[in-house]
Amino acid sequence: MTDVAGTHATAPVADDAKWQRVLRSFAENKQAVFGLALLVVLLLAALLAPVIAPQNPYDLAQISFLDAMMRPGEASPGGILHVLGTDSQGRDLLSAILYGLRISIVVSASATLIALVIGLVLGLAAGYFGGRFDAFLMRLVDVQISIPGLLIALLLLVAMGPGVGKLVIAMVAIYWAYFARIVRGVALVERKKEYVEAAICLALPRWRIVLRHLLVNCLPPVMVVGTVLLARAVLLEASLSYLGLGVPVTQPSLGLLIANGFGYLMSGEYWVSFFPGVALVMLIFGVNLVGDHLRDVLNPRLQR
Amino acid sequence: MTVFIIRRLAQSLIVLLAMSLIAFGGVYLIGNPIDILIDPNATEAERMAAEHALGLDQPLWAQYWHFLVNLLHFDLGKSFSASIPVSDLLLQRLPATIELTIVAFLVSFLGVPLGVIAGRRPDSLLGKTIMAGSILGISLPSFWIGLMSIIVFSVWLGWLPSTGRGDTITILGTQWALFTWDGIKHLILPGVTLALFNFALLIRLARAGMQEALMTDYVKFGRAKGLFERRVVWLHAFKNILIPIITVQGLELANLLTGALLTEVIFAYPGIGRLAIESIHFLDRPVIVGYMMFVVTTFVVINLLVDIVYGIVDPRVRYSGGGND
Repeated sequence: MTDVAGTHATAPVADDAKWQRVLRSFAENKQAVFGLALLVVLLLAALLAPVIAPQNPYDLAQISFLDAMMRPGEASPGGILHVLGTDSQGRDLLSAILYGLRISIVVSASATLIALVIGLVLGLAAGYFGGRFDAFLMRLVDVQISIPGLLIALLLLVAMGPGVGKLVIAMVAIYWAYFARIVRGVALVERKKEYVEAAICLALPRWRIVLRHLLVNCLPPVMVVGTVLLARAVLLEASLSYLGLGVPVTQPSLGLLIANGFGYLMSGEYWVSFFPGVALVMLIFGVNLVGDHLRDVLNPRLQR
Repeated sequence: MTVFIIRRLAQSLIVLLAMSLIAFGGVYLIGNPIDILIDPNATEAERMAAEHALGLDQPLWAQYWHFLVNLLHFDLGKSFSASIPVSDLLLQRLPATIELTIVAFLVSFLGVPLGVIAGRRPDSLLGKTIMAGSILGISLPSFWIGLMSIIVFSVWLGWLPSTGRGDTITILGTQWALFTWDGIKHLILPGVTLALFNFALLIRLARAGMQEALMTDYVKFGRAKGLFERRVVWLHAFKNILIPIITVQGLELANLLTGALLTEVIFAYPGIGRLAIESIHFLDRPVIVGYMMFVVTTFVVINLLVDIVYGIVDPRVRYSGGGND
């Protein structure tokens, strides 16, 4: 494999080849394909939750306290088979998990995406313009990263109160710094390369240099960092919701579903905590498998 | 070197100052704790007296200044709900968290030999299994694993206790559970739960390090010289993979301290993390701020030490303006 990252004079062509290579090597790796398949299945399940779920867990007319804490595989008198059992309010657990999966995915994915965009813009600006803005931003990033993420989230959620939107804000506040740092680093290196100088000499507009050259080169590391942070975001959302500081009770994510089962563990009624956890593990596992492989493929150091 | 240390020290102080401002600002923006602490039927005069006693009637900047000055004297104020100094409260709970963190830290080092095995034969079945296991280990939410271990080992098998800290003995005025059999039994489940992530991380670090080390010349030389493979791997290569591991582990120790928060909540383990969550639910501001300042200070100090040690070992770090870039 030739060092694609080094031949930037023909950046667009090389990039096409690079992405093709990434796709090919991705398809050859069983773990990565398995991870991707897992993610697709979970995404579809979340997306189609209203269609495939046996009942709507938010519709009070459909759930009955009489069906509470049924074991997995039992059928309620109403005729619904509860494959994964029911919780303390008589909700079908499979349905609750499918809807919870939606919330977990939406919250963590949107938080990661917003953080990515903010980090990308600020990092590109810092890397391209340099100077005081860069110095200030990087000190801010340093401070931010030296404080544990869980603490920042706790603090913000204590200050703002619970809610899905606030949870997303708290998570964006943690993760933007990681994106900003990596993007700034790449932009700084690329900016000094000859092809950018050539572009400047050709009097290409600034936005074109930043978008067409710097941005494109930032994407591989951003994707790697993005998957790592996405997995962390799913975990953080679940942890915060478990602690009762994340999503509200009316919109239970997987973490909150797990927490709901806590009180029944001691009497051996494991399923209320067990099955949402399995869904959560599958989600994080899928993201990590894909991310792990992306890192190997996109890491220029391992291409030699 | 001195310049480097001074610069890193200044940076650390800025982080602490920023954190104190954020923590104070964030926590003091939330509802008035008087509403929770005082009898709803209290008269206006009683209410004002209580506010005055807690210093809540002063302007925010004055409260912050007061807080900052006290902080320098290691005085974190008094808990609203327990009416004892926050530092005492933290100190009471600290031994439990220290024990938990250390046990988890030590347990997680079992990942190193596994990583070495996986690194020696990355394409063997065992190597692949270990690696897949480590990805799974990183993907497992610690709180869920905690709950599942409670149901298996406490409820079904009845082998281990699931809540609390067990018997303690007093050494130098603090209570330690690590020296009683009952205390150790109480530490096993939370310790292993907390260790899981770092355990998986160490497998990956050791594997990556081993793969690199085995390609080096000194390993080839050792083999050519006819040394036993065991000696080449576990002595020569092993020593060299320890350097990156120790660097990461400094920070990971600090991460375990925050991670302990969830573990403590699940196992009703009386450490500082559980104290923090209780305080959040009671809006006990001084305790929340005290906990956060304590954890961030620990974080920053460990960061600083790691960087300084790194600066001594690797001169390049000194001139690049801090180890974080």
